Amino acid sequence: MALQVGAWRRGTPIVAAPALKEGAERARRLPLIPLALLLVLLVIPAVFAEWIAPYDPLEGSLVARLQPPAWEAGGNTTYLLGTDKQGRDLLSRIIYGARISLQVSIVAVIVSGAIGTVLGLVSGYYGGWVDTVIMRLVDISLSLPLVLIGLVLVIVMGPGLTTVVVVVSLLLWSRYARQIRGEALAIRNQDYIARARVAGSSDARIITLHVFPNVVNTLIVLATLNVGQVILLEATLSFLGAGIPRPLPSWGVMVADGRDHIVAAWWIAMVPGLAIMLVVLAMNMVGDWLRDQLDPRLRQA
Amino acid sequence: MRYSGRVLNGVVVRVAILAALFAMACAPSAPAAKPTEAPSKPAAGAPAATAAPAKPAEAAKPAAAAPAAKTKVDRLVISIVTPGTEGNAPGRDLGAPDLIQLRPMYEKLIGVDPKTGGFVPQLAESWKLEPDGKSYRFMLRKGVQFHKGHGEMTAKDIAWSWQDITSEGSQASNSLYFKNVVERVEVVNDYEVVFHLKTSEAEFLTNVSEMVGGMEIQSKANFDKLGKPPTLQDEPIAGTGPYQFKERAQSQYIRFERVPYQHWRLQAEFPELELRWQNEASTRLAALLAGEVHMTPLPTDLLQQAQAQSHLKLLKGNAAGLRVFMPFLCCYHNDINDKSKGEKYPESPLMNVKVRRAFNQAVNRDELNKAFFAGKGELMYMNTLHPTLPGWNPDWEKRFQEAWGYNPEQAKKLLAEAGYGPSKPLKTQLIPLRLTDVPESPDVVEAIATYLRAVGVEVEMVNVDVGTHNTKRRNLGYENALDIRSTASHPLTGWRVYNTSRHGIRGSGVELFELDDLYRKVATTMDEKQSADLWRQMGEIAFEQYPQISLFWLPTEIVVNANVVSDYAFPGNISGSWTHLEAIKAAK
Amino acid sequence: MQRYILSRIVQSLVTLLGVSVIIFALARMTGNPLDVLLPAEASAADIERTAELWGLNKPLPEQYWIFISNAVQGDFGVSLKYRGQPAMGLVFQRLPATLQLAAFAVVISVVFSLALGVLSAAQKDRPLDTVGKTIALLGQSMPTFWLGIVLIWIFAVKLAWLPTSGQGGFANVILPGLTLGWFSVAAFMRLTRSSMLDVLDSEYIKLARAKGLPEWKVLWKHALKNAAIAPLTFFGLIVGFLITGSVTVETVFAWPGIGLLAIEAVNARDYQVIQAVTLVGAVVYIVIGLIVDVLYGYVDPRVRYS
Repeated sequence: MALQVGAWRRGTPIVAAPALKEGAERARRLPLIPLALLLVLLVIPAVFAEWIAPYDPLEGSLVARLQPPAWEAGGNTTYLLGTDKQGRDLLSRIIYGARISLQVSIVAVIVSGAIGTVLGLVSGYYGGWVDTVIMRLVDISLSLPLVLIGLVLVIVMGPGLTTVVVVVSLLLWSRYARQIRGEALAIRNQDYIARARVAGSSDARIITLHVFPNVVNTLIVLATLNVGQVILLEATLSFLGAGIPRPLPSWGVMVADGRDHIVAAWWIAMVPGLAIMLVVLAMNMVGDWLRDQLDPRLRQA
Repeated sequence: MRYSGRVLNGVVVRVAILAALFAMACAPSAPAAKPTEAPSKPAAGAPAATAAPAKPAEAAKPAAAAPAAKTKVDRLVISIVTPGTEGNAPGRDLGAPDLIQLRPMYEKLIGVDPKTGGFVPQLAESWKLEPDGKSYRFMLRKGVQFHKGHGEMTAKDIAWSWQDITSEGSQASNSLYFKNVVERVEVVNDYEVVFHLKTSEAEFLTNVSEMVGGMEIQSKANFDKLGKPPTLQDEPIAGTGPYQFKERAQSQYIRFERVPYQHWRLQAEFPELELRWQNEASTRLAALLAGEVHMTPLPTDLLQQAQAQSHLKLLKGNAAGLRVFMPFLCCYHNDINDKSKGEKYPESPLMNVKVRRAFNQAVNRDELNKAFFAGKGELMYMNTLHPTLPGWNPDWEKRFQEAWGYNPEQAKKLLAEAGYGPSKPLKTQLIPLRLTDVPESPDVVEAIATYLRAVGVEVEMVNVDVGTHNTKRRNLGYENALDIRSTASHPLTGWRVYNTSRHGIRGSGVELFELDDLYRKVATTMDEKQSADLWRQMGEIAFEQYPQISLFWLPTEIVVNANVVSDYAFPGNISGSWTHLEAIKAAK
Repeated sequence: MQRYILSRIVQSLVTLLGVSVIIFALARMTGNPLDVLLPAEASAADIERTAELWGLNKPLPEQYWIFISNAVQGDFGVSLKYRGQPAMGLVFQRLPATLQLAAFAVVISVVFSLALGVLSAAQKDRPLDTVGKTIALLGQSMPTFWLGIVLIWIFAVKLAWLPTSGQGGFANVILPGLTLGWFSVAAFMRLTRSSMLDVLDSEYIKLARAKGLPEWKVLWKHALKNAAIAPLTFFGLIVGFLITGSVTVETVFAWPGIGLLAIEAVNARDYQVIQAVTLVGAVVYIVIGLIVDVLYGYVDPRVRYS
């Protein structure tokens, strides 16, 4: 079992792996409910938004503003989930919001994952001063206050989807780097690596063909767990005004918009918040399950 | 057991840490931070006035909630939005809207009548324009005392206050105005002072009055004693107002106390006055309902909840209110003195007056008014001028619907005439600024974007923050954009800032040479009939040239707890903030 | 051991330096504070003049050098938004509020996770286990600001049990503390649960049960002992709360701590305060990291030689 140096920084102790019997039991139970939730709340709306959404998420009718959801007094089925203060249909905005969440999270995870993995591999494999430099970068990245940096970057770069992706990636890459580095460290001391080197393989080849495949599992688990993190981070940034710009229907922006009306028009803030919660919860549960399947050593993270 | 060696130590340490943390968490808030002290009982924040059956504060909390009878409070608490800057030197640190934090302790040369909005003598008993037409002689009131024993107010304090506001690096809104306009201040004797201006200036009296922030009269003796402008660690320089400074806690509140002697003007009815900063409107509402604060302005959407409570009253300013409009940021001269040098962005679609007219006719003002302002807005037929002000042409009201009013078909036709259509769509940018006085402003801009789209305009919403926006605007960086503004400024100031290129203030609106020339005339015209005439001419040009999307005059309103406050007479949103706070009457 | 400590200290200093450079650059990149602070009527020329006056026009490396050399002596400059107030002074003024919040959050977090962890372990794989795990997971799935708003709505508005916002008495710290603390319950609870499971399997426990000790005693004695696991994660928690969570929670609850100070500073382009807040946060994080690393060095010799 690899020694997880620095594991405490992730909030994990050095603890023994669980009994194998438990792992086998878990493997049989596919997390159906979370997967279904994800499908219904995230994937289907994101992909089929144009077909499902009843109205345009950006155009509102001022006459219809602040309408309650259909099941409340004063609501009607024209606007199933009610309208916001511009008279825009909440349901349509939630649906298109799913698309934004999915887009941002996939891109951000890919970008941060790529950067983190490459740096982590390099750092773990080569060691020495390369390792030191990269780990210092990781430290710096971890000590900077996430949200502040986000706010500042938004002022510098202007608000927009690209900015959000950049901010989120900058904040998350270090998690991959740390973890992958640990794995790479353990792997590079293995026999077959030594043999490959003796046989004359270049470093790049070794990393790509021998080291990387062994960290893929970790990568997948981290990526899945991180999607939820990204969605939360994007929502937080949007809430603080530093994320997706108006009038785009990001769930975070919608909660921010509904804040002032929490008493009289609670649905504007509650519904998108609920969406975020369910999606991230489902994502976390799927991630947990994946981890149990692919890499039980990570179970304590 | 595998942990046996370290367990005991671990447990003891763990419990100790937990205990320490718990103690820290339960400790009363550190005095250093000066949190909301004294009458801050935990807010029972239950705005029960919704469809839900009232879970009223009356049932849950004792004393804290809606008392049914008149209450006498020692400290009147007014809750407002946090000022952008906090400072103690009114002439150097604070721009106009932020001056509210020091206003109750200072007075000006000329006051404003809270009912009519006209000038009344304050620290100056009388004033007159000198024969040369460009100097003002002020005769000062005798026997006015500065706070905390700093002596009597005399002419040298006036002269010094002018020096203070025109000092290098001052952030006061009118600093540059006073520097550019006043040549020197002459102290004739202790109670007589003359301001010598560089040229005739019709705006001058307004700028030394309570209408505009700036030229608060401070004690020179106090400043000399301090030796430097006061920072937040010091106390502000002594003023002459009915309230004097007591204490402040940064980003939380500032407190004033009634002067201990007989004030020359009025005796404040509340022994203490507190201005409390609370940015969130719903927080202010909750605090008001819980009795923590007694007065606060609220956005329209929350007003209904407040008004449902019988003890809460909505008070309105007496004079004409706030103007809200969207200036076109596009049309700047290359040389403000030379027509032949051309325009900066000749290709901008907004250079075409037909396009500007089309934008105006695309907007359904009635719908906006009802949706965001509960119908309280008054249609603005002419930016800056109002039926109650001189220079008004009643014709404008008659012609408004045809020339400016909501008519999307007409708008589309105009755009087509200007050469735009489905094959060549018109693109423009809208900047949804959040205005302190009009919290609904971003929503208004978003709604207007919808109207523009409905007539075929492609709108890009530019979400920048205020700082970046101001930079770009000042540097004339916007070629084809609109933002949103609110102001209660005097007409002359309004023209100057938004429609001319004078005094180096540019980037706030469409620059028109004819308006510039007329402005130069009216600014130096002292005869009232002549100025009215000139204003009418300027109005006519503005009417024809569409320099902005006109929206509304909004009343200035504040919600008060009628059990504590019986009356508050105020002119409206002059100088960008609440005035006449010292004259608030207590409920008896 | 000495060498290890020394090398860790040097590494921390390098990290700190890196943080200072980054935050210096970023703060400056937000633009000119004068645009926000000077009145709307100020022209470009006036801004130039004031910038000159305030030393904002010097070349960047020179400004950085001034910043660093002053910072080492404890002088972080003067706030632009709170005129005349030293930037670090502002941070220290507001720090206690954040510490109070963080402390309460940690207490709540630990109490909940211990309870849930023990319960889940005892009821392993039965419904209560799933419930416990889901509650814990919920904490990591909700946006903090939304949780805060919901709590305000339920407890301060509908039920009127607690105040809506602001700092004040004990009642004021409950909702924000709960919001902040729930997030970490998941991680901690899982820790407790799995260690409990491991321990419950051991011979020692079987012996205790055979001896007839009541089940609750068996459970809770070991629950307490298992709190000794990963002792240093406590500090990790506090630091995490201070830096990340505090900004959103303080915004939602108008809690006058350094999170809110930081946001105000960013909006006002108050360079000095932005730098001061960030550096304080970074220092706390790095120092804690250093302490923990050293302690781990004592506890686990293998770590020293990696």
